Amino acid sequence: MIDIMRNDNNGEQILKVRMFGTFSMNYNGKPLVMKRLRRNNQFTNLMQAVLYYSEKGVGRDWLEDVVFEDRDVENRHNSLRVLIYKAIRKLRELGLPEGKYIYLENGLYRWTSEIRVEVDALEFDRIYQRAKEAEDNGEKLDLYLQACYMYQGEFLSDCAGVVWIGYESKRYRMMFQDIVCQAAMLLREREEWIRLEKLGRFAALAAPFSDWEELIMEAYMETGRFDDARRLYEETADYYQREQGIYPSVKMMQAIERLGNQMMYSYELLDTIQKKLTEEPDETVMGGYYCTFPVFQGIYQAVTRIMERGGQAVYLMLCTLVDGKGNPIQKEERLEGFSERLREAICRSVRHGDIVNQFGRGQYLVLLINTTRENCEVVQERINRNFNVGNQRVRVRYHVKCVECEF
Amino acid sequence: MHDYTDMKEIKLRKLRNTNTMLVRFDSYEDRVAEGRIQTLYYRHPFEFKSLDQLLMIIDDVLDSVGFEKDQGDFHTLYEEYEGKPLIFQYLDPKDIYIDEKVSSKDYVNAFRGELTIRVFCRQNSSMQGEIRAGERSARFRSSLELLRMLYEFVEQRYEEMMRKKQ
Repeated sequence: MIDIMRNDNNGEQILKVRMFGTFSMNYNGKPLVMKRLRRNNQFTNLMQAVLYYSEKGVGRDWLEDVVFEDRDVENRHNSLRVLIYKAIRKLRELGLPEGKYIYLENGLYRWTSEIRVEVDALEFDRIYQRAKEAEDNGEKLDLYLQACYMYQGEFLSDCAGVVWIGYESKRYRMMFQDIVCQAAMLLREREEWIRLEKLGRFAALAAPFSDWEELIMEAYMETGRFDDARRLYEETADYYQREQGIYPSVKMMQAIERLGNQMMYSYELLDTIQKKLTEEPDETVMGGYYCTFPVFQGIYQAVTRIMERGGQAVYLMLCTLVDGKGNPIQKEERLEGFSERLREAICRSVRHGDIVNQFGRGQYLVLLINTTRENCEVVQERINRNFNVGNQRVRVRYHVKCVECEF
Repeated sequence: MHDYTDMKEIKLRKLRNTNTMLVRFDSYEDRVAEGRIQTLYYRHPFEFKSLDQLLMIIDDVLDSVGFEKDQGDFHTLYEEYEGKPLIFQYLDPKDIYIDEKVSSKDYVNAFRGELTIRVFCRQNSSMQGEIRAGERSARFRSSLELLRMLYEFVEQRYEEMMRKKQ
């Protein structure tokens, strides 16, 4: 938080007035605090108006309206004079040096030139005007950011029921909005994403429900913090919905869309996923797709679902190694060599889109996609040709079953 | 690096505009709240004879100044009322604050609101915003929620008044 209540370099005593947020006065580094000072009393109304317009002065009738509102007050001029007299006495008690702080001149009430007044809101306005006129973009940005961080809350937020305060509050809100937009644009041009994020955070707090989360989101996306961006979006959408029942998402999503690669993070995420899913090209691997049993099981289940729509015929084939008498091979050392040869033979004999799995020590499962029973026999012959070498007695026994769609 | 041409347009557009209205109550006889509402668009306050009227005035005023509203109007019972203001009492062009008057600060009047209602947006055929009464503030998500809060406020004040009388 910027301390705008500091003394200046010349050691001059200044009455620093805070009007962003809650009204407060500070003289010579000490806050002017009054017992039983209500937010909405005539003294506060008077001080707010006189100090805010201390440079130009305020009209008597105007001030009477502000102080007495529409109350029925007899002899308003005199009542105002009495009120000002009491206010001066009160200020003196609070620690201001001797003097007639508020005086009437040519129909305008003015604040004495002997005590310099600095009002944060007026300073904010001045810096904003300087920023608009600055030609150098660096200076412009510094001024915009300086003004921005001065906006510590709505103008006299706890006195918003007064018409002039309502208007000024609206004017400062619009100014703040412009400042944030301009500063964001300059930061964007310089690709200063960390400062843009900080700006967005501040703006979202200072002016809630104004979609300033867009800036944080933009900074996240530009710095590749896509998970953070997604989380921010979810949190913001939830917060807006819970607190206000409104949807920030449309505007936020529009902003992301306009950024170019809208939802870049999700595309990138999908790209990564797709890369992981894609089979590495390997020229040495030919024929069918060889996989583990859980994968085979998953493919089998998926294929049966797809069949529901496609209508193609799918066959499940079990290939078992047997000896010359037709019995499964028991000897481990023999089994290992034959099993490996059979795997190669099967993979070479089936099509690229068929699925192969080693089910047991001497057994393989093959899922033959989009084929006929006759073709299954052709596949068996091909496997035999590729597997049988010379006069070997070990053979392959086949069992084939049609896969049926159960849905 | 992206092309920010479109982005600049977004950033320079008015973001969620808000509108503050000041409300004060003059009577709560028979639990019917009467009072006045001062908007920052019109020089003079509008009178309301009940809280439902107050809500209708807020909506009509916002319509009259083109305050952002969700696509699609309210459903109506009779076709002839489609898109028409129902309660808005008068629309005198002289009563509208023009920019020059605002910039020359020619906008003061003696009205003081007991509470302020700020409408952030009008979605879901309703209103969303914030109500502030002194140091207390609460956000409302619908006109019904706002109505309840307004009743809370006048009830509170009524009970306080009765206590003082005793």
